[in-house]
Amino acid sequence: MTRGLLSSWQRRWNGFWFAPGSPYNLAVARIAVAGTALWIFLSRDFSGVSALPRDFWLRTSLFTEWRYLLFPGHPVLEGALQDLTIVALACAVLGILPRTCCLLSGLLLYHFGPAESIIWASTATLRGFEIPQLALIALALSPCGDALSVWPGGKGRKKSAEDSWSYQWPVRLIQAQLCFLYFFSAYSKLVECGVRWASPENMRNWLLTLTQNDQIQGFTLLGPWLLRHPLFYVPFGVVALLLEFSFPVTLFSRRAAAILIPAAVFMHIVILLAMNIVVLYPPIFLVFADWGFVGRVLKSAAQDNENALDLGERTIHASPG
Amino acid sequence: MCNKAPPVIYVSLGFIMRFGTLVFLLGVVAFPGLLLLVANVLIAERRSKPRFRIAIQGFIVYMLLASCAAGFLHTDLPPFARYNVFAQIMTVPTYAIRIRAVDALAREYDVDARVWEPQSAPELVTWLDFDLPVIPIQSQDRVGQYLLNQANTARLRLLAGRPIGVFDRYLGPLTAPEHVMFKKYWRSSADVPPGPFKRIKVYREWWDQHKRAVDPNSYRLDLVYEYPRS
Repeated sequence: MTRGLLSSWQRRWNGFWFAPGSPYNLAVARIAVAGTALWIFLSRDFSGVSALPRDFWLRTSLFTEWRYLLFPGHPVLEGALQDLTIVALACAVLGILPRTCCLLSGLLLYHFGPAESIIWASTATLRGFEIPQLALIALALSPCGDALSVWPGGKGRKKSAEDSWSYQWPVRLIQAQLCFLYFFSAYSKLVECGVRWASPENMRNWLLTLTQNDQIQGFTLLGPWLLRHPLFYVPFGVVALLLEFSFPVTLFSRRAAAILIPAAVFMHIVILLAMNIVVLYPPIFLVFADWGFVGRVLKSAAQDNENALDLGERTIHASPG
Repeated sequence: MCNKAPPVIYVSLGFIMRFGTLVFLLGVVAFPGLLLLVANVLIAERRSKPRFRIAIQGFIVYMLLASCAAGFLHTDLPPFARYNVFAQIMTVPTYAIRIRAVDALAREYDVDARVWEPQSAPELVTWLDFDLPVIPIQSQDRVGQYLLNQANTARLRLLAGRPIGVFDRYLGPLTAPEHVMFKKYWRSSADVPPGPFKRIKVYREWWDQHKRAVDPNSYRLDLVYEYPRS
């Protein structure tokens, strides 16, 4: 019985991680993850943090600096590493030596990830690189350049049908990381605050605080409107917790994914418009879609092209004189 | 006497210390562990397909376990995050850090967040709130001078019609926003004085959200720091 249970579990495990996948899903994952990281990277100046007066770094422990190999007073070196990261991410997006570039950029994102907050936080997360750095490292271990890539590099070994398992697991791993983000975000709220977090009073106080602080004013219409219509913001805490806790279901049910992912995007839009709080990873949600059709479309276009050429050639040969 | 059980409090403290050490060690080994598994996969890939697949399984299991450890232990194990997002009860009253630059006529100007780039404004205000008060006075003043210089440099840039920050140097309006969207106080040369700023002030702005909902001017500014000191 134990053996039966084990083999059934193994079957499920293999079915989940190693089912035949499409190279296009993996390629889109590479483009979405590296593209998101590149977008954030081009919108910051991490090397500039190294040039700040050392007084800003006084409370940063030596351990933290060594953990990320991030030290004050090396803006030139950090500038060079920053440029290298930009090039590596751009190459990963385009599919130029994608595996090498994914690995390099994943490691460099680990280095730069905490650059913004290292002056006050010992572990710096939630600055946009948590998922990209892990995802890029996973992509580096997979044939992520087999589709939609300019120069995949390597030996150009043709993949057989039995190799298609290697297209599936990195996509699954990135999806799992997104699920961890939501699930543990809800878990953190309960650990830190208990169920009081979801109370209408807390939602109202957050809304009031963020709409009254005139320093935070990108969007100014939805927040005050919600405050005048409590019916809409009162359930927000409970709905957010339910959404976040149930997000891992997207891994196992396409139907759930079709509901929960748009719901999560909608939640982020409401939070942005009402509270001016931005999250930058929604482009990575593209990993939940099936991009195999791109391959089919490209193949059929190529086939049509070939047929047209063939027909043209035959017409030339058939025409007299 | 020897076999007398230690008081519960000592047992708990011992557990917490051991637990704390364990968590610390997990945090130390999380990234090197990941690198080892990456190396294992790359080596296995050159050897044989079955070995490669086993190595990939090891990598997946490690990623899952480390992510769950960070999440359930509620501690960051870089690069694995605990995802402590928005996990806070908003207290009443509340406060925010406000930075103002003062010109020669003692007029105070709210400083645009882009002035502090390459520092991110949310990170800077958090640092000013928690760390500035506890560093030596000489260091505080060097920081104060730096902030004043940044404000004056940005003022000159604005007057010259150049961008005041650096984040939008590549992507312009498509630049990825920061986690919190700060108001752009300085949009035209009319928003800054023609002469240089002489002083920088850091305030803690306190307000009761319920009172301010009725009266928008119901807040109090406490001066936390100014440079030069008066």
